[in-house]
Amino acid sequence: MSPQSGRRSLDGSPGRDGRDEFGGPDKLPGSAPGAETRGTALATCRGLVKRYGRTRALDGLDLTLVAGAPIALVGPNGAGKTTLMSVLAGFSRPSGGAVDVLGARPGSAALAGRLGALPQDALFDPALSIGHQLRVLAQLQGFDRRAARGEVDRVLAAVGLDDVAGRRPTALSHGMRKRVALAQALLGKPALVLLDEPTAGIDPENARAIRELIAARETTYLVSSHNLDELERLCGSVIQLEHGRLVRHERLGAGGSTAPSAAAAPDGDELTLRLNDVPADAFAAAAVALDVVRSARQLPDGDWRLEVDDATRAAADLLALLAAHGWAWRHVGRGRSLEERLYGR
Amino acid sequence: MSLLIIARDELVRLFATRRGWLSVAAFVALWALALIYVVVPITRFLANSDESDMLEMVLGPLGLAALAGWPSPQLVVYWVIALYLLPPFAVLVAADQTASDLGRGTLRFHALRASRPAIYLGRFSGQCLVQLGLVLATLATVLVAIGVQTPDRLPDSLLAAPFVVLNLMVLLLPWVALMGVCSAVARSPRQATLFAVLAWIVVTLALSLARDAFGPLALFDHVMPGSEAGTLRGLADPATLALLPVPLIQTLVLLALGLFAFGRRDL
Repeated sequence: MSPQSGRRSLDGSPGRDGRDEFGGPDKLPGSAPGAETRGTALATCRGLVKRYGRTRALDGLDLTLVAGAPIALVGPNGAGKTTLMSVLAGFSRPSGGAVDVLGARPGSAALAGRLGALPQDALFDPALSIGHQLRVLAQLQGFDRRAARGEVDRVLAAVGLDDVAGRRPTALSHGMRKRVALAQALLGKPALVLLDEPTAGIDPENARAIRELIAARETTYLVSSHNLDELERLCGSVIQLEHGRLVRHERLGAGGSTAPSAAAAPDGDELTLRLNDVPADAFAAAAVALDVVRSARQLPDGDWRLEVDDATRAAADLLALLAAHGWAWRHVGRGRSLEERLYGR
Repeated sequence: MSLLIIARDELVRLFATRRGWLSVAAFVALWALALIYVVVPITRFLANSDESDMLEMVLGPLGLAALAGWPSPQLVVYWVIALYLLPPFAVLVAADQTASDLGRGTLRFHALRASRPAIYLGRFSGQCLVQLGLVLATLATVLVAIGVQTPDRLPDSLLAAPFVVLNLMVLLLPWVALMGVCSAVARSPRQATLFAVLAWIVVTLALSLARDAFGPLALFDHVMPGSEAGTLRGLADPATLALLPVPLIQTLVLLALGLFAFGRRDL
């Protein structure tokens, strides 16, 4: 919990369920995933390979995406995130292996309206109005003209852009264009939506609008991003790719990984504190003097990592300690952040 | 159904955009010049002469004597002009079947909702509708000219009009299909046009080498789109139908090539 964090523990906005703060319930986020019931396999890759010349962008990937909470897709540049999205969406043909999306081959017309995607850097035709282009896409999904008009109004309203249908893409800001692209991904309420860097390069207000839409969870999202804090707040599980291979696929929050994890300690035994101008030696001595705190060490970025016996009681005792000394604090969190889980600290 | 929606949208892309209107405006201006400075004056000249003799006198040395059998001289002039004016315009207009949308990623939005063959054939069909519109529009102006200048020839000209439309459309099909292939491997209409020019040069050179190696086989005369235009130029309407299989086969081959290329590339 943090005074300015805007996370669920304080202001009711959707929290990052993977690392509950200040003793909140440690559970996976609930969802209402459209036509697919929670836990249904939405996409399956078996030995998936994608080559670009001699480079193997995907190198024998085995993966199953299930319906439910948003799924984070992370990895360094060149890890294969966008390539995986492209293959799942049918934009790229796999070089080897098998892919199944909602029971169909990627790119198949059978997926029309069932699979949505926000491709990275894809733009609408600058010469035609937003409304016209979205209506054509809706009609391709099977809507008649009248229904298409209504559906376009619905998705534009969902992204907070009710009044842009008559405008051309060039009349919109980058963030608004991204939201329009997100609106097209939501046409027809698909069962699976692939979002490739949905908030990259856009201002905080537009980014928040997109995050709020994802957090509403009317479908299952696969979200690729380099913003780990954003993914941690939104997603219920994480897939990590490196060099085109799966290196991690685990739930966020409960610590129950489905693949070997690099996390050093179970979530419930650790607290992370961010303090303001507090003398390090004095705080460390005072903290370890508490009977529920086993150790306290300062991390390279200035945060404090405390191993505790009872996270809830320890947090309460620590807050009391900070108040008693008049020490300012900014954030108290339980467990390790997604960034720490993935890349250690 | 997807194919029809995409074909209809191709019409909108041409006629509802500034780029499209500029293309149409350029064509209209060109056609207006041809109508005012070629079709009407020649017709007026022929109308003031002993027409049947004069037409044969003019057409005979050009190897176009068979055209004297056409129902009106205006239609003859239109036919000859259209054979050479419409293909290059088709190349320019049809260059952007998929190239721009590929370049900016717009086709990804479509590919989520329609199969690639539907997208490709939809765009091709839309371009064919555009070409049909241009053929009908230009022919209509000529029929109006016939109605004004030589109204007694209008009924026969109207009867001949479907043959003219059919022939011109089949003549244009391989050009549109060729630009579909070029557009499928390019990322801009300019690049597609460049590819078409390069393809034309390469195929011409290859045919020349093939003729040197294998002799003047008839097959080599039918490889290039528009190869039958020279023959068509000298035929009266019913005789032109015999040449239709050549451009139709060219179109089918190019469509197959384009579908293959478009189906394999990353969007």
